[in-house]
Amino acid sequence: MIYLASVLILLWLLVGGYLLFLLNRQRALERTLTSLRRQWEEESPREDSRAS
Amino acid sequence: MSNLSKSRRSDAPLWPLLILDVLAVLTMALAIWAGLIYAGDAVNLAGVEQVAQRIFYFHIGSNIAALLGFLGSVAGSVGYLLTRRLAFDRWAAASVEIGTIFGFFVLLSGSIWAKPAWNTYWIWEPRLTTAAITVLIYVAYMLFRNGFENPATRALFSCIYALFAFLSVPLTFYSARLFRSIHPVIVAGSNQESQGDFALGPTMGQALTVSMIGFAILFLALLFHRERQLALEARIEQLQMERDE
Repeated sequence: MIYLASVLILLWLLVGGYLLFLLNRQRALERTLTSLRRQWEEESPREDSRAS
Repeated sequence: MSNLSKSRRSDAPLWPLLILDVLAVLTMALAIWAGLIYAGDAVNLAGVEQVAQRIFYFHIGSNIAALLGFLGSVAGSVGYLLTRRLAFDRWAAASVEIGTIFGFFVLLSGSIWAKPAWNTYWIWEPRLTTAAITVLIYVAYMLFRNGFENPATRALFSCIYALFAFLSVPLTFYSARLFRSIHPVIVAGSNQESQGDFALGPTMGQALTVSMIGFAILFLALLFHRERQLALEARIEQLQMERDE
């Protein structure tokens, strides 16, 4: 029983661990995207005023 | 920076992926039920071995997922080399990543099963050795990829590496058929030199099919999520490069 239980626990540790990795990576990417968007919004009015 | 709006891959509809996620959870739950409860007992085993033989359904299921991953890497690599579209390389990279995770699970579950069946966790015999080498080759692929900064160079070398890496997959498959091996041959005949033997009853076959489908769907769900993420990653990388210029 211990062998079978170990395999099932291991399966969910590996898949669950990978899902956690995906989740953390997604959060990090969304943070980077938000900061890029903010930078773009801050720079756009300056560019507009220079153009005018 | 005008490309910023295009970078929002999250604008793409998520519902097909969510359906796939739900399907993966349901089929995996079904696979666990089939492997633990529905499948009949092995008539030639008793005690610890009788319970441990149910590892088989998860061992083979994850084998299918690993195989899909490695096949996916070949498809993606060939696609990239023919079209030079980076999306194909992303599919290949995501396939290898998930295939390797399932490959690790194959090794570990096999090793745990080996203890009650063979009285040892590991033997350096052809099937186990080639399987371990295959997983390590794909781990090396992921490390190799990280060594390149230019996306096109990274894609080109990774795709060539992936094609050569795949040679280890048929070698692993045929190792128990071609060489004297303690590992049983389940698919497509058996090796007379092989010491292991395997025969499946009807409920065992059905449980195995459900398990293989469950793992395949789980693999696909993870693959689509990871590719989506890699696409976003590539877009951000490009935007950062544009900003720095």
